[in-house]
Amino acid sequence: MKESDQDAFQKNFANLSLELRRGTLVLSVLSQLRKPQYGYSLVEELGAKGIQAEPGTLYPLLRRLEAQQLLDSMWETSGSKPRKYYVLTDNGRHMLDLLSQEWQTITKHMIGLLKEE
Amino acid sequence: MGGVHDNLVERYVYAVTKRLPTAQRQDVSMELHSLIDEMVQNRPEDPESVVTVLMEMGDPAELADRYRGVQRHLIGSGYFDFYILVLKIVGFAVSLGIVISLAIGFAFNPPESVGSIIGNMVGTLFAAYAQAFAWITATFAIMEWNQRRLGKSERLEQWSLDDLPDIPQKSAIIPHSEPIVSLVFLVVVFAILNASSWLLKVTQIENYTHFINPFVPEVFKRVLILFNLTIAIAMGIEFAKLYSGVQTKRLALLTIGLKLLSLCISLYIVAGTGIWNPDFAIQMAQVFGEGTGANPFFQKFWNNLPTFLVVVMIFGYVVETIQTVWRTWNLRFPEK
Repeated sequence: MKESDQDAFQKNFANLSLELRRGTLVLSVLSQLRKPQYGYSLVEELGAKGIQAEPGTLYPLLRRLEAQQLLDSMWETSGSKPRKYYVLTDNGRHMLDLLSQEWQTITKHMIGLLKEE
Repeated sequence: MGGVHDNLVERYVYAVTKRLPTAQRQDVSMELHSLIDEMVQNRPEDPESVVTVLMEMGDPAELADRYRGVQRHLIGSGYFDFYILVLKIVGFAVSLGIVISLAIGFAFNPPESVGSIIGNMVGTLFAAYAQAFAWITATFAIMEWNQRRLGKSERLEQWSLDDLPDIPQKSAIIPHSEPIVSLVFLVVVFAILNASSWLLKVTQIENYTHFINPFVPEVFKRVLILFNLTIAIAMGIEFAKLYSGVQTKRLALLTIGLKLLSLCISLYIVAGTGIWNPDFAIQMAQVFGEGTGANPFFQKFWNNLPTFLVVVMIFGYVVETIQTVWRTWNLRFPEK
């Protein structure tokens, strides 16, 4: 492969793997919000557990999930700086259960697929 | 944190929130401030931490896009190709139309210099391109908006296999060239009709000044808007054909309906406005030196011309409608 081809290949890999991980972000986020967390603590916690989440992606996602009534939010203003905390609603907990099951099924089948040959 | 950096953060947050609906702005602004603060404090060793953090957050426009959850565009991929095609056709048609109408104008009022011809042409062309571009873009933006609105409500209903369009037969396909040729023709007609200098044609013969004009100029000017309306309708039909690309029942009904409207307007112009110059036959005779009396044959022809045109137009419409219906019907139930 030429160098430019290799660059293109690398770029393509970066895009595809980003796409792959993007689908798992909702489940990752929901899984960490059984207890209230604010955006940045969520970024750090996910990071510490090996899931990279850009704040620029995560913050808008939290809002979308709130609009879908999977999350509840409240501003905590008593501290030195205001923070917006998010936590699962009942709907959110139910959704997390369903998506977790879905994830188990997908991974089971994916492992099967990748083992072939 | 220095004041310069505070300002940088403010500007960044503003660049995001100004792209968001008003109701969300304050909340998002607070959230982003608190996030950026935290990220900055997490890098005490970096003197340029604010810059680093903001660069990491990326383009504010993209961040705003993610907050909104939808891409904003005026004309989406569904219409874009057609939009470009229409722009090209109209650009060509506008150029042709303006060249023709200016040429007619110059023929009757010779300009002072070549420079003024070029200046006039460039100026007119530029203004016309700008107008055409603005109208086309606005039309497409409305179509796009409408589509998005419809799309939302349609998606609520169950999609069914019946929604799949029929694969068109070869004979049903309308090649692009067909409506394009018609459009160019319509633009030429439009340009000639609207280059009104020719209407005021004055012929000098042996010290006499004659107006020879088949129309009464005042009436013509008044009904010019109706002429243009029929041309606009005809153009609309051609654009519909261009967009559809296939002869369908819907397109046939649209064509028949619009042509009926156009026919009514044309009948009114021909028979109801008194647009015909009643003295045309006499004037012609004077100009062509046949003495004072009109050629009786020509006079008769001239008097009956409106009636003749009415008959021809109605006949033409009926024939065309039958043809369209027959063709469309035939296409939908092909012979075995």
